[in-house]
Amino acid sequence: MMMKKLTIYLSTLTILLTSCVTEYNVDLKDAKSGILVVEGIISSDSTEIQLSRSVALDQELSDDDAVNGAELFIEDSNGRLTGPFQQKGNGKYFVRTGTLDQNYKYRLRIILDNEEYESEFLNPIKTAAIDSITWSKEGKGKPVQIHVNTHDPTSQSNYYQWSYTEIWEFHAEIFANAGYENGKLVVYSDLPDSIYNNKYYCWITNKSKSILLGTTDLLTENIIRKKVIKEIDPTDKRLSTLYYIEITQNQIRKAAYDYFANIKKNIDESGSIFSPIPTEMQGNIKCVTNKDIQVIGYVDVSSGAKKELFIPFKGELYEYKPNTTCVESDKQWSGYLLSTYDPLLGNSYAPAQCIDCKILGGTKNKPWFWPNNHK
Amino acid sequence: MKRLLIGICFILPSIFLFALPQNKISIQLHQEKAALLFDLISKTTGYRIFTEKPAIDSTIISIDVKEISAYEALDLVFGKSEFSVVEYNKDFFIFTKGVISAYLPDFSQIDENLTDDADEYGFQDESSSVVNATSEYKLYEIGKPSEGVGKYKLTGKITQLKTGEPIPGVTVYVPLAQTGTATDKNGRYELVLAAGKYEMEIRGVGLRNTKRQFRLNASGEMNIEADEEQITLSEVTITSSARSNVRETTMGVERFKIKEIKNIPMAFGEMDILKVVMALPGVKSAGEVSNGFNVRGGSTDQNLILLNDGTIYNPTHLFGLFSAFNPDVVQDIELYMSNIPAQYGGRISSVLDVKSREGDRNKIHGSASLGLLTSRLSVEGPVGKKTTFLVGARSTYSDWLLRLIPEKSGFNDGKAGFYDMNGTVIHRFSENNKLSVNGYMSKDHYSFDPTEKFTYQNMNFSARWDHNSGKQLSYYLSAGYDDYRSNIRNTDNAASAYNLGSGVSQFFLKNDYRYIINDKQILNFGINTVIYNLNPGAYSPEGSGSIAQHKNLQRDLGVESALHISDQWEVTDKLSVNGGIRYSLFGLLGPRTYYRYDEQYLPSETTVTDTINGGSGVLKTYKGAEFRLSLRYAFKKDWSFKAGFNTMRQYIHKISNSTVMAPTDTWKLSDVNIKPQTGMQVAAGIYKNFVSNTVESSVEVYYKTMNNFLDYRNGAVLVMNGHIETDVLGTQGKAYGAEFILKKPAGRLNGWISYTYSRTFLRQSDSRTLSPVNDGDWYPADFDKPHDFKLVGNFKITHRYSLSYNCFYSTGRPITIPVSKYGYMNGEYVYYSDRNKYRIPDFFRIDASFNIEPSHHLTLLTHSTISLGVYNLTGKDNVYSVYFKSVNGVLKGYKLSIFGVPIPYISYNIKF
Repeated sequence: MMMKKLTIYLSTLTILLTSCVTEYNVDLKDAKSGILVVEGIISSDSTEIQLSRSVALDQELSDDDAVNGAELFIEDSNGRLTGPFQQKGNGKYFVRTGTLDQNYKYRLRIILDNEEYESEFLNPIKTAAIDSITWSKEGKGKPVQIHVNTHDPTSQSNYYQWSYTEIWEFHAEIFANAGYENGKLVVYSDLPDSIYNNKYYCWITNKSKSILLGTTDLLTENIIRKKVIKEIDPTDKRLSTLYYIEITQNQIRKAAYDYFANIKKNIDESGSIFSPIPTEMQGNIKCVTNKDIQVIGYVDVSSGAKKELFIPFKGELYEYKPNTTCVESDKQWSGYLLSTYDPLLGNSYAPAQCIDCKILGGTKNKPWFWPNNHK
Repeated sequence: MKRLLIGICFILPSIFLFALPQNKISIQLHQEKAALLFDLISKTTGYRIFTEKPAIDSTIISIDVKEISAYEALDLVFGKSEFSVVEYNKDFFIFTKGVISAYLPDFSQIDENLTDDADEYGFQDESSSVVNATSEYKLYEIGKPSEGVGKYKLTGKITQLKTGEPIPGVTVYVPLAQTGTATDKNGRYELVLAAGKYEMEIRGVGLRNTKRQFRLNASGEMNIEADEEQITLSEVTITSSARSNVRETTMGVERFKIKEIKNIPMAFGEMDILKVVMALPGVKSAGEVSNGFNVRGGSTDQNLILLNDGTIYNPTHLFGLFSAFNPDVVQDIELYMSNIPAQYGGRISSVLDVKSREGDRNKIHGSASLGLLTSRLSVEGPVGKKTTFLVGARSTYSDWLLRLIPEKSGFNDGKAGFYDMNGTVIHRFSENNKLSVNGYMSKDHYSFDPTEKFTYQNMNFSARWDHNSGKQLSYYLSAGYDDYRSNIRNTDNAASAYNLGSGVSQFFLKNDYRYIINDKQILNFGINTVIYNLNPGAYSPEGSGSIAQHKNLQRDLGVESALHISDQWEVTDKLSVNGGIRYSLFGLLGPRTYYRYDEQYLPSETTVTDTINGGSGVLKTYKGAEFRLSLRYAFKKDWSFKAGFNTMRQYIHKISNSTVMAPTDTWKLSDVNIKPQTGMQVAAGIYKNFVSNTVESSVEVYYKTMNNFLDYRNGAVLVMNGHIETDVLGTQGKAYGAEFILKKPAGRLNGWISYTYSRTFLRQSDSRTLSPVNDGDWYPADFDKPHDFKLVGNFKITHRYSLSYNCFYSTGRPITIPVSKYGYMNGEYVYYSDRNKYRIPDFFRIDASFNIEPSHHLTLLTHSTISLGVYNLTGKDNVYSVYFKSVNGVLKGYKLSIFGVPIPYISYNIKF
């Protein structure tokens, strides 16, 4: 006889597992600050090095952490020194380097507070040119991706590092035809190219905020195809008028790649369930006069390559979302600015952030190469 | 139908498990009738023994045991043959397996001569009377009151109160006369008693105990209606003997039967074997969602996890929320943490041996369950008279759960699911020869985002032949194939889309013998061989647009063989020793290309001195003896001292840089540059039982060392690394601790309370390391949680209602947190210094559940079990990890809790 037993099993969760991530303040007994951080690549043409010091975890990074007053040189394996670097303030140092000679090795030397620091002697890597910068969008609501494409037929190195500078133009939601400048009413339409248009068009400059890395290590050819450098939300104002991106490419050696990948991993991948145990890697720069002094950074030697791209407004890229708070009113509420000057029908007013693009973080620093006549 | 349900009731309720006898006996019989054994047991313990057939009584048996329970003695003799031994309320029943079902056999008490002799007295057959005895409190007169002094025959019929059906197999016992019997298949009993006033106890499987008072004045009939007992309907097969923690020579061993642990509250009400293992003292895990476990300071890859002799390389499903073992098909679990028997080897920390159940020998039946997380199905039964089968399958649909888990855990965008299947076929050629064939397969898939998909699967097949030749020698031969493989498919970038696979395949052969030299000594010996074939990484393009390489790392081929012999010797009544030696030999097989390095430096790509193309054959051997010694000295029957010394060797290593067992882990054999791991443990403990052995207590201390444990160099690259020796570092480990446990394995209140103090430290001791972790000093391991308190309890309020309760407390695990932050390439990054210098806050969790067992009114067609519970009752947001993230340019610390709120659940089971 066949006996059957059917067990019906039910389970309910009445409270959902929410808000499980909370802020946490660690009692940092041995917080450490003041470790010298050396950033930059010895490059053809010119080299820029940034010096700063680390801060305690609970402090904010600021310009005060920049290290000024150091003496920097590039030394080649022939004993020739280039430098000293020119101090540009904010911990930035700059030197003209000319073309790096493939037959020599180069290193960075720093003299700071009577201590000497040296990076490892390295052969220059000749970075391949960027073939193209492309963009794509998979569909409505999807982000716009900006990719870099490159290949290195000489296969100098399988490891790549990118950074970018982006500039975009945008404008305020509402064009005000007049406004009070220094307490005086100015009708902008009377002055079509006047600086008073400055409330409408703005530019923002931004730099890449994370280390972008790529490798062709496990590929049959040294080709980077459609490496995503930047993702832009389709409602982002970057896409609203004119967008510009300049990508700097460096081919780097494996040790540099591993070093950068590690510091990136330590912040990007920490805290999840299968997270690797964080580890600190030694970079290639050391204090030669006192080996107990720690230094952060890897100074590679590689000629860089640059390429830029403009993306003008396109209906298929930018998904304009009207700002519903930008409604004109016949009353001047607090925080409102004049938007329409009309002595016959009466003036209109609108919230300041709808009229003045500077409130939204823009500046009037229009790049000299900007290909339109917006002021 | 009613008979059927009675039959279900007779499938041995789990209550049997909780009523193991306490009285110990010592018996020595050589080629005697079983009846003599029954007689001896009855006389020494007062238990009565009922056999299904008189033939059992005349079976010729031999037994030589000391200080074991009556049940153990009976089980030793009968448990392994075609009989089953069942204890119930101080009675033992011995019957043919496969008979106890809808109809109970015709039990006859061994003391047959009672009725036979009765005739000799001659019944003083006066006017026989019939009494229907319904009350426990009334005195029933049988026959007319008189001054009768002779012996009379009392007969009667026992029937179900509700249905009037006769009940076979019910014990009736008259304590005053020290006589009793069991009802036949018509529910009838017959006793011969001297005239007088008596009380009769009526007991039956599935019946509520009752009694009747009567005065026997003449031969007569007393019919009794019995009510059913309200207890669980469940299937339990008792096969292995009960063990005593005081008596056993080995220490640090835990055994569970699946039924003993079913009431432990679990997250989402899903029963899980590994979660129970982790509730034991000495076992730790990095966090709530990690089934990789750490035994006494060992790492997760140092545990040998066996399912029916095959090795399970990944014992988890769904990131550790479930274990790979389907509770429906598991029979029992053994965890060896200290004295590891010489027959086991290959890992240096522990052995978890999981055995699957044998299918029902009586009839084909199945069970199915549907749940919100998983559903299960199993079917079992006999095929002919000698063969049984059991197949089980489990599957999940848990995507919804992932969406509830916090984003940072990396789960909530994901999809995940698994299935597993088990099958066991057992064929008994004869009483002494048994063939088992087992198969297991599981597959997990998950993805955190649609462009990266992970899968992994376990596959195990094994066949085992058990032979029991005569009384001295028994052996088994087991052979099988284990396969574990994992795969990552990444299509994030079409041009570099890839498929990365890795895995372990192994054939194994085990041949172990057990030879009983005499009543003092048992010899175990045998040979084990494992042939490994590992795939450390195979990389291939995914999709037509990909220019990814086809690249296969060379496979690791090796053979690990071991001979072992151990002697269990009871030197005196008080002292027993178990000494074993295992000699293991590992050979790395070619063909293989490998590097030699400048020995002055740590192996790295720049210190390669030679590249060697090794041909086929053995390229490198490692060998060594492993010692397994333990002794027990029993001061008294209920307290003893034990000590042990163990050394272990391990030739296979897990390659992973995460704390827990991650699904992306790969495995690597020892080779020319990677030495085997070795471990040593010394342990000692005191064991004391209280309250007639119902409460067990022990204190164990241990000290353990580990060598050549693989840790990873800073910034190590582990994926597709063909020369892993350049990214690892041999690390030393040491662990010590004291474990205190108070355990009540049975009774209305059962469970355990334990406290452990333990430490585990690691050290990068290779002097060639330029910047070792924490300057080469000892640092706490990731799972070093010094204080650990565990309480697991179950209280039966009545037969129907029970409360289950867990409480866990432990020191927070060590973590590495940054000490400084800095700007680099316009981003914010952090600087770490010493490893594991900080700790996350302490862990605390209470789980409770209230279980309502079914009522067994026979008129009901269905029986329901309800379990109401709350996981993490106090809602403590136990921290799983701490991490730092830059928010608007300011780095902030965050803590991640996986189950940070109370999770109530209700589980409702219907059986019909």
